[in-house]
Amino acid sequence: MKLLLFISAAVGLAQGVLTQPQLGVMIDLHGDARPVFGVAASVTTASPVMPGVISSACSASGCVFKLERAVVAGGQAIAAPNGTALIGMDGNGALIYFPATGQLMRLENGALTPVESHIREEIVGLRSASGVAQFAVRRGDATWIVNQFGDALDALPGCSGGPVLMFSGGEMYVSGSQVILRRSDKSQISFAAPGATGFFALGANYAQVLAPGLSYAIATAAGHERIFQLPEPAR
Amino acid sequence: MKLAILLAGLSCAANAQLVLTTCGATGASTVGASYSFGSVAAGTNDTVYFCVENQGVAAVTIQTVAVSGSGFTLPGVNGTLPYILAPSNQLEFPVSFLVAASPNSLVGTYSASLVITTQPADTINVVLLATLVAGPTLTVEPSCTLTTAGAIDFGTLTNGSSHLCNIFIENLSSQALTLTGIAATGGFQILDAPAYPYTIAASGAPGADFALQITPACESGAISGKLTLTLDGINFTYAIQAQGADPPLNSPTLTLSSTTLASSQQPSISMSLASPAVCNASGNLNLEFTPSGGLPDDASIVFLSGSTRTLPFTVAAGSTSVNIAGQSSATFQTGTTAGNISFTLTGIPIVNAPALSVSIPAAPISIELAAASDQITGQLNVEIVGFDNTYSAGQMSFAFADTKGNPIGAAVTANFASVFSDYFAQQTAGSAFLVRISFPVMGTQADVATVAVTLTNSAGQAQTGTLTFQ
Repeated sequence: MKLLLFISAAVGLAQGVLTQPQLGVMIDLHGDARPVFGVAASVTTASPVMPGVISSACSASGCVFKLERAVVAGGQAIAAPNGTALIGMDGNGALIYFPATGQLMRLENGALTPVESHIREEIVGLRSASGVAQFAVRRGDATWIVNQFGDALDALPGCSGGPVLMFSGGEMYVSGSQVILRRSDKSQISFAAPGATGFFALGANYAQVLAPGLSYAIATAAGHERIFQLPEPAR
Repeated sequence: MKLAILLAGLSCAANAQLVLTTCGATGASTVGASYSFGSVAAGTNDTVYFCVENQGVAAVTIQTVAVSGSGFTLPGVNGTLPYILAPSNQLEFPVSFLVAASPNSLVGTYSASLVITTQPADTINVVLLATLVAGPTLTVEPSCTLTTAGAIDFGTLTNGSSHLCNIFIENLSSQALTLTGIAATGGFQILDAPAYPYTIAASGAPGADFALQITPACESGAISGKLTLTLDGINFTYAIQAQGADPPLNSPTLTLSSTTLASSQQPSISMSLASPAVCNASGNLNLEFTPSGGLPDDASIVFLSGSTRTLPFTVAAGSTSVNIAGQSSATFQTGTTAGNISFTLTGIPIVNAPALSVSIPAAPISIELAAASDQITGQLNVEIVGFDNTYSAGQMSFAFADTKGNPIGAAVTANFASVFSDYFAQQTAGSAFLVRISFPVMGTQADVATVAVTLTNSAGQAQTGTLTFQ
């Protein structure tokens, strides 16, 4: 009862703060990074915050953008190998793999530091959590989840061989004309996304799915999974 | 004898200082003692332009210009008489010949005198000649008309379709006419012409008839051509004119992927025609949103391609399928505001223009994400992402439960109406919100295991379900 009284009293002191919900940051067809606001299937985009983005990952704490020759995070640009990047954000920074050079690096405190990689196969996805890295790699005709030493942890059934978006609690990959959201408990949900070619982490609970001429977003929060199209700004 | 010859020489058509020529639209050529208009058909107005040029070194005053003779007229002079003609200058004037077409028209040679007097005293005399020949009289059937200038006018024609004009040739003269040819240019075709040679009897007896046909190509505008009738070896030419216009779009249909819509959806719209388009066509598909009473516009209600409320559409000739912004359909967002979404077509004439309107009904608050957190000591936090398409949210209730699932007291209520109202007043892109509610707590915070939140708006209530503090 005592707890209840204080809760009741606290209602009068309860602070209600209302803000416009932001899903994350998308990369539009022109390579501009744009904040996305609203709710699923009813979103608007804001003016670009970064041009020339070729890879991206955003979480609740911010975004890491890969430009052609630099990585941008926290408002700071750091020279980086050319080309795309696979980015796995964690609480302290990000683990980044550069396919063009085969380099694995750690982004932390405004610096890129090489990380020794024991992975010999083609890396198509990665994630980092609490200092533990996991990778999606191609082995033969299959895509496997492996630890930082290359030991197999899981296989992704039906993966078409393209990029894999790895996040806490699951993976997302292309299987034919579908995008598969697979949870750590092996349950999976498929979404129709014809022509899907890749992914960016849009935000904490959303992934951007790249397709010819348009992008989708997939809401990944358990019980709220949904696919919808992202608006493209006027040209 | 010598003096008479000298006087006759002074009255010739041109003297050493003044020279008479044809000019202007007639073309330039020196005029001698006579000038022939040639063969002129009855009912035809033939005009020749003459110029008097001063080739001397002193000015000459043109006193009078006169024409006298049956069928010939002087419509006017390009200057006021008496006219001081300076050296190297010229004075222009037209002379017309017209004999009305009628059974009484006398074919043959007509003559007149053209006399120009000057100061210093002198006179230019020219004999004007014209041979009147019998000519046809044309009549046309509606919807064609004959203009006052004698042109055949089809009027405004729908491009891509064939159009006919029936022509009747009458011979009102006293002589029979022999038709030996009918030709048309400018894309006009002759149909049902009589076999040549064809004799058209005199004095209004039944003549010949034929049809002119044209099928203007798509995107045709002004169309012109010539009709030539050859009668007794003489070509009679008539201008033909028409104005093409592409046909309107015929009965387009707008179809939604779903007829029952709600907020926060992405349906698509497509367009088709009842019958194939005659010509390539294009226009605009417009989306309009009318919010329910008192609610603001919602900028998230747009077509996703280009984030706009207007998209171009095109349809190819011969097709019933319409492309919208290059695709077979266009996806749009229904936003998060109650109201009405309607679609219209503009930019092109349309027969049976479609009117498509769909309602986005008011609904209870929609909850997208909800979470409860006890990570901050002494504080319980609830975070809800959702939208309220009535913009009337405010009342919330919180039902707390302990680790055994037992309610902790009664549900507590709070009214955040003013907070929501202030927030919505600043929104232009819908009613989506992220609300964070914090409860200061004293006691064993861990005893509070779950909370279930109910949100109320004018359309009803919505629940988060049981949220576990973590």
